[in-house]
Formats: sequence, structure tokens, C-alpha cells
Amino acid sequence: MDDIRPPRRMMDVQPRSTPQPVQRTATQPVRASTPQPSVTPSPAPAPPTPSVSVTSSATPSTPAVPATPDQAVALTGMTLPPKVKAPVAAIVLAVLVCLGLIGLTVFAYLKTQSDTKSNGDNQTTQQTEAITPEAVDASQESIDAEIGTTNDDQDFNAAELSDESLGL
Amino acid sequence: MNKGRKSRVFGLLTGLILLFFSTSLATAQTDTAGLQDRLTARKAQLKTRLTGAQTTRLKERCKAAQLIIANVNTRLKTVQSNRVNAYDKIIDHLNSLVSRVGNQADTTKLQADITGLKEKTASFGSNLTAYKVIIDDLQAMDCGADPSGFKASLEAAKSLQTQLKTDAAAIRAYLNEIIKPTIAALRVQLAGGQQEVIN
Repeated sequence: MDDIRPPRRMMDVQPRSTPQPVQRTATQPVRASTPQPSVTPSPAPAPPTPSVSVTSSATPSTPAVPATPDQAVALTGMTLPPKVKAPVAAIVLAVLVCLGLIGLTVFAYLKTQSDTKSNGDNQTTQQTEAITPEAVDASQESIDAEIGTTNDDQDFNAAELSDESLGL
Repeated sequence: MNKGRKSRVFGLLTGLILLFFSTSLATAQTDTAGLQDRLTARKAQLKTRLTGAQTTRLKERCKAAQLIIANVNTRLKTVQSNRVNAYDKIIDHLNSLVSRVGNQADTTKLQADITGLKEKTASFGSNLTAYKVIIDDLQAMDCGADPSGFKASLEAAKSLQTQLKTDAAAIRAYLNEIIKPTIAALRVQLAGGQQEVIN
């Protein structure tokens, strides 16, 4: 059967540090890399030119350019990285956690906004209504109640840091 | 999960854990360095120097004193929270009163009094925070290794406690002698305005 070989492309040619056996056919000339002298610099050898060869004769046992990665593995002896299965469960869990956190944040923000708005509404409502002297008295009583919760002598008792109290 | 991915995940987790601990260690080291700086500053401010006998006595008894200071510190947290909340609520009540009165009466004096109250409570809050830091240092430091630092911190705490009591009394006096009369005058204005409306 006729076998049409794909053209040998420049990108398929891998730079080699050491000479390696080259798959060649009768129609494809191959240039082996020559070592450069260390003393005198010389221009780098020209890369091998691609050539297209279509033969109708018997095909070689192995194609010049591997058609599939598996064939490339067979040729070069390299190993492909094993197929990785994405950790679906971990990804789903992470997404759910993120969504939950986003939801909590939005909920807290909305609640804050609603509280602020309700306070503003209350204040607006109260502002439109005439404040009575009794309301002023109530505010005064609230202030007195708050200051009454504090006891300066108890809260800042000098005796608690005395040498006698500390046993020094 | 193949070995490559496992190793990457493990490496990532290890890196995160190391980062967490290094951050914690850096924070702890920073706190320790800050403690030493504070102790040095207090020792410089301490007017009296410990004698040999005082140093020995302090070394023997400071550990037990730190247990008592721990109880003081626990109570101080409650005091700090209650005081700050009380002052904040008072200021909120006053601001709410100003908002509610609006154009019905002149609240300029009350607003100025609220500003004065805020300055006093802010100063009190700063001193209270500094006092808390000293109490924390007294509890956390190695008093046996640095008895003079312990003594200096204790003297600083006593001084600041006295200042706090003075500040609290000043706030109470400000509320009673300045703000209450202003609110009373505001009440009279409102009552007079309503009387005019009725008439």
C-alpha cells in the first residue's frame, strides 16, 4: 500500500547535544551533527532542511515522524506524564466553600445596610416629628443610666496593685 | 490522585503551614522585642534603683505576684469593655438627641459639649490601652530575670491607674456639670417653643 509520509517539519527537529541514531530512508539525506572545535569559533551548522518524500515503494518499518504520542514514546523511549484525573470532589468542595463565604459576606453587608437604613428611617421619622421635653428627659435618663454602670473606685482601685496586695 | 499531584499538594500545604508558623514566630519575636524595649524605657524612667536586698526579695516573690496580676488583668478586660461601651453609648445618645432636635432648638452648645466629651473619652481610652499593655507585660515577663524591669513596670502601672481614675472622674464631672445643664437648657427651649405653638 502506498504510504504518504507527512513532511518533516522544522519544529519536529529537536536540537541534540550528542549524536543519536537517526531514522533515515533512502530518499532522505541526513546530516549528522559535527562537533565544533573549541579553539576557533566557527559558524553553527545550518539546520537540516526539510524535505518531502512520497514513496510508493515498500514502507519502512517505522515512520519518520511519529503520528501519535504513543509512537513518539516508542521511538524516543521517553515517558509521557500519566494522565491526571482532576480532583473533582476537592474542586467542588472548594467552590462550595467560596460560595458560602461570598453568601455570608453579602448577607452581612445587606443586613448592615438594612440596619443603617432603618436607623436612618427612625431618625428621619423622629426628626420630622416634634421632639418633646419628655423625650429630652428620657435621653438624660439614659445617659445617667450608662454612667451609673461605672464605678471609678472599683474599676481603678489603687489597693489591687499595692505591694501588700501583691505580696512583695 | 497520582504521586505527582500528591507531592504538589503536600508541598503546598507544607509551605502554608511553614508560612503560618513563621509569621507567628515573627509576631512573637516582634512582641518580645517590643516588651524588651518597653521594659528598657520604664527602667530608664524609674527614679529609684533597687538595692541588693530588694532585688533578692523581688526575685523570690514576683512569681506569686504575677498570679495576682493575672486576676487583675482578667478583671481589667471587663472594665475596659464596659467603660468603652458606656462612653460610646453616652455619645450616641447625645448625637441622637442633636439629630432629633434638629431645627427645633439651638444645639450648637450641645454639639460643642459633645466634641469636648469625645476628646476626654479618647484620652481616657488611650491611657486605658497603655495601662492594659503594662499589666500584660507584668504578667508575661520573666520577673526573676529582670526584677528591676518588673519593679519599673509596676510603678508605671500604679501611676497610670491613678491617671485613669482622674480621667474617669473628670468625664463624670463633665457630664454632670457641663452636658446636663446644656440638655436642661435645651429642654427649656423646646418647652418654650411648644408653648408658643399652643398659644
